[in-house]
Amino acid sequence: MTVINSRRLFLALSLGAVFWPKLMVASEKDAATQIVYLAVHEINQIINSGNTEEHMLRSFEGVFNEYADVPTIAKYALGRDARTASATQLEDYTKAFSVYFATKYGRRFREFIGGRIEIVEVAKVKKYYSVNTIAHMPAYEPFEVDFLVSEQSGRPLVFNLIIEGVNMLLVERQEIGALLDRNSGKIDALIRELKAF
Amino acid sequence: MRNFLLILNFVVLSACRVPLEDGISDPFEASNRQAHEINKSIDKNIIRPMALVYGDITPIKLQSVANNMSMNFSLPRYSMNYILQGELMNASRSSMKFLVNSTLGVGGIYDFSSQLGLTSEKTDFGETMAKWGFREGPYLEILVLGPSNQRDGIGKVVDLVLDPVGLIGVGAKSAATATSVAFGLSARSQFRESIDSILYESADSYAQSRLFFLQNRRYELGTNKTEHYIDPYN
Repeated sequence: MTVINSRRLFLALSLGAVFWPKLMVASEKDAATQIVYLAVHEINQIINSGNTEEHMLRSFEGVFNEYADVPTIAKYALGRDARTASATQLEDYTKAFSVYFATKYGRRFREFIGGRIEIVEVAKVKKYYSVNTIAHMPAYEPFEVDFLVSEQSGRPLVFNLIIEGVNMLLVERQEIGALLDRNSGKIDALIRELKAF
Repeated sequence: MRNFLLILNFVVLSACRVPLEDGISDPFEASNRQAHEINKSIDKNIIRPMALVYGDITPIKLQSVANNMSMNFSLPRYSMNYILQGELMNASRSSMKFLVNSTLGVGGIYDFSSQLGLTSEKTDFGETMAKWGFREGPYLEILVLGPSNQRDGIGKVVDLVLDPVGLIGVGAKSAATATSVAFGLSARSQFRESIDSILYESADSYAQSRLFFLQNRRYELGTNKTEHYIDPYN
């Protein structure tokens, strides 16, 4: 009995070894789809809940914190200045950025009220997955929103959005860069501005 | 027609045949920024307030009807451009769609053809020129019309002047203009958060509009050289 069991185990392991890379890719892909599915499901619920703006914004903040890699987005947006900042500054900046980010993109998603987001396909692009969705709006032609998902932080999280070709990471790096310029490159002043957003 | 030839001549002389685009070319930044400030004040004082009133008092179903009609009036322009691009299949689709929606869809009130699975991608003279091999040229922010570039700015003027809807009659032309204004107001109202965020809440609204326009336009035309591969983890 034990012999058979260990043989079966051996067989399972060798099969596993042969198919492991494929299996892993499949499961990563599934995980990427799953995370966007859950996020989109929650976003659809929020935009059709009929709640007040304040309530919706708070719900979006929850969705972003759960499904998006906000610290990574924050760091990319800061660009080269992330290297010269102290650990405390980076931490403060990341906190301030996540509030700014949630408010800004929460308002954007609020525009989808009465509409819905539909997942169309998932494609692997180098080290990440691009989950392509279509936003259907009541009085407008549908438009494309791609959710880019990576597991490089340890678990699958959305790290970028491409809305009709417009890359959120590039937009945020430009914006944070302009905010820094306006504050003569001082990170503490930038943090204060982000908190006031 | 003579103006059209003059414009074409200018385009031919000023363009070379490299269709892929990357980066931002903005040699006219100073005057573009002036135009941007004027455009912002036009939006703030005229377009935005009108759009919010229109969007708030007009039921979404009615907005949808006006938007459908506006889309229907764009179809002859799509057909013309598809023919100029040599895309005859697309040209016949958009012509067919125009016929179906104008008749069964009662003058374009209903997008009847979409229910039949007959769809048509948007196109314009800027895209036609891109297909002919013209580069986008420097970035331009045009008064009233907003963010553009040399090629697509010329494209907009050509589309306005040569719109085949004018051939149907003065009535059709005015209806097309009216519904396209209604569509513009409806979109300004629906996407108010995004547009307000770019124009009034960003640190440098000029640079943000430029980035949005260029990325979106290159995506529409399929001329974005890099696929925006950014891996923030490395």
